[in-house]
Amino acid sequence: MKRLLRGPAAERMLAAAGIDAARYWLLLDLFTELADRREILNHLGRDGVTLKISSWMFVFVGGLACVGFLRHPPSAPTLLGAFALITALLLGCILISEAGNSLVNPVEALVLAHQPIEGATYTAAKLTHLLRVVGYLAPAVNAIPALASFWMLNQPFWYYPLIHLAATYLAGLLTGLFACALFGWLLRFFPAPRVKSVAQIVELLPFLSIMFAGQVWSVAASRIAVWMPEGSAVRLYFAIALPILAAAIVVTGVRALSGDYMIRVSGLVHGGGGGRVKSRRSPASDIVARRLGGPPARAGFAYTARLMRRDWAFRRQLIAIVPLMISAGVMLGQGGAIDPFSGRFSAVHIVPHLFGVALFLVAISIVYGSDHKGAWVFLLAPSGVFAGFARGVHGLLWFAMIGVPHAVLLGVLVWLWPLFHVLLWVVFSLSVASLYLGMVLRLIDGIPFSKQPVTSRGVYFMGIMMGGALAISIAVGLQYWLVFRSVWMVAAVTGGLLATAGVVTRASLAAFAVAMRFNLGLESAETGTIYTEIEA
Amino acid sequence: MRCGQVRKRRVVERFLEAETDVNFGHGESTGYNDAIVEFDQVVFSYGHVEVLHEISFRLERGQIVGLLGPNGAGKSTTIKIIAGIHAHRSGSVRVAGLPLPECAIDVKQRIGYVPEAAMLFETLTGQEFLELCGRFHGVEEDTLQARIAGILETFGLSSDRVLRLDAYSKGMRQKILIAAALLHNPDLILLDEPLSGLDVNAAILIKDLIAALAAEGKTILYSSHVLDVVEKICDRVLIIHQGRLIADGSAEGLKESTKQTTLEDVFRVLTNSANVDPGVGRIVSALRS
Repeated sequence: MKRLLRGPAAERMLAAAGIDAARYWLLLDLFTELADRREILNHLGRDGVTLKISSWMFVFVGGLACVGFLRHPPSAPTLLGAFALITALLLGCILISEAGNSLVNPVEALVLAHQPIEGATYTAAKLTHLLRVVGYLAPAVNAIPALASFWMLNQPFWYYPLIHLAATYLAGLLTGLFACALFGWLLRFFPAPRVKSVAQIVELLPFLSIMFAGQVWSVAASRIAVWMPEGSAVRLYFAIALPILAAAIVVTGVRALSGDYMIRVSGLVHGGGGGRVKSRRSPASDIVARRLGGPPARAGFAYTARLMRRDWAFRRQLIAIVPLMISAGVMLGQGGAIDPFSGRFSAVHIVPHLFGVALFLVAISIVYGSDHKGAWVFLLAPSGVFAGFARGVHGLLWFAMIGVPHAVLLGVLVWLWPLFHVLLWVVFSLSVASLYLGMVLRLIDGIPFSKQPVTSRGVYFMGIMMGGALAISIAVGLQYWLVFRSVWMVAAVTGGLLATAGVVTRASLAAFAVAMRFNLGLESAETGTIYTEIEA
Repeated sequence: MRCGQVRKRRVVERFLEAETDVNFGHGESTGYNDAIVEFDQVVFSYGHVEVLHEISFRLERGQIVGLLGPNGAGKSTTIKIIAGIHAHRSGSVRVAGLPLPECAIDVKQRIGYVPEAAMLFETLTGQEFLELCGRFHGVEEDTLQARIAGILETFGLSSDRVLRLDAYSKGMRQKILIAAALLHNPDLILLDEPLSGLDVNAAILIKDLIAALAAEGKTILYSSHVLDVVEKICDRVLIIHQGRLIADGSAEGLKESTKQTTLEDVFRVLTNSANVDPGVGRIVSALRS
């Protein structure tokens, strides 16, 4: 099979597209090998195991989506259109991120930069590797809907499953090409060192499109009805022009990836690394050093603060927080005027728990970073400093993710509610968020930014987030029904939460320091040393 | 024949064995004369920071040229431009008569490059990495296997060929990089700190290999901070300082013109680092404080 696929016919076809067949196959084999050996996963797309697990999850999602159609049997075009859209949206979320990984941070290309490889050949190999994702996931989403069409359609016919699978695969393929073209356009318009930063914003597109698709569509539909009435010639021209325009966007975008890609690789990978960075000692770090444990605490605070801002891998892992922050802002905008002590339920009740979600996302992502190889410096640190370092990291997370946002909230809410209510709510929210921080500290499994990002984590993410959403719903319900009945009850619960947060944080900090030492191998090495000493 | 010459001959013989049917470039005539590298008024910038300012030089075939300069002077950048990894902003660069960056692929066929930082695919074995590099350069399979075996044996890595590269020491990784640069028998060899991490025997071997390859008509651009090695093996020395070429000549010629006795002294004088004592004093007093 492999020999047939890589025969003279395929070679001629590739050559016609300006691709060097021999090097293309070499690169494909290399990427597959590296992905399967789990090297530089974050830059090469998902490995086979991760893809298989994701596929099973997508089979489940596809099955779930069928349930809606069982009560109202659709026509074949409606069912096909709906699942093409679902496939495009689901794959869009994954493929834009994968293409971002693969195309704007091609670390492996640095090893190959001096090899005689054409940009077109290299890009083609990368795209082929990415399309593996489509090969797994598009059929996975559509397997159950295609088979269940015999029961779902109002007029089923025997060859529908084949049409369904082919059409949705094509939708996935187009989504993949569009994702790649998007980054091609970025390379066309932005200088190489800026592309990585811009790509992070682009990766937000699927999340934002899912969040605001309804509003955008309602505005667009009303405009379309005015500008292009039913049956008008403009609508026909538009229908013809749209696919042509889309094809042109994809072709020119993908072509932009092929030209001098290998020469721009170094600039892409290092991003704005050559730029000078203003670095000054913050007053907050002085306080941390004085109160939380001297130079090690300052080290933890400053190190985490700087890398949280500058580490590309970390920042792109936290893209999910941005929609969360936007929704928190929207919630506050809509429900901020309602005093939580008025007895009415409003979005303000949810806000303290959104901090929990954001802290959870940071805690599970913070150990992964682009410059994970620099973690060797921690091996030289005396083991006694890790407790102080952990307090410094905690201090930074509390300051940046709890302290500063609450100060902003205080400044805004003071104009909307009575002062006492504002103060009490802010302290309550602070205590809830601090408790969450105390708990999620245990999830930080090692030194921050010291591990290579692993794409397979995303597979379990959906399940964890669904479980977390359920837990938060219960917490918000209990808070509304039991706590926000009187200011005294809120004050008492706040006191209890603060005390609990203190106890939990103390225990978690000790566990965090052990986790850092354990991940560096110090824990086991030192245990061995003690054992030897006793034995001697 | 003296002992050193015999050793050099053996190294080259082992390396070049079974080379007969290999196309070391594209086989086409490029029409270049004795100058294999022509660097003319080259300017290069990282973003808005200009790091090379109108540098010009030519490298002739069969020369061993040392490239010296303080940290951040632009040595590695110069080498990367010649290797087709970076594109210069203005001026012209030709390698083997081919303009860069337009003909980067053809140039890459003709050069061997040992990078300063040993970036490798860690999960590949030494053998797999070398096979990959050789195949990218289109070396015939039989020849490739013979060369890999010969080079690994010479470097004392035969028994480690099946180990993953993440298990290699720094010196072993450096040997693999050097081997990868030589596998396709390039016309121009760019070495950026090639002796970094190598033990004494391996360093002697590489120095002999460099001399022997130059005798075969290959050009070697050798960037290093180890000035006595440069002085011993290079026919000509280029010194770059703050992105400008400040000296170009033989080690003897530079010593004579600057009235210094060693290349290290020449370097100190030309790069204004003659007296390092105040700096040393500042560090020591800072440590005492």
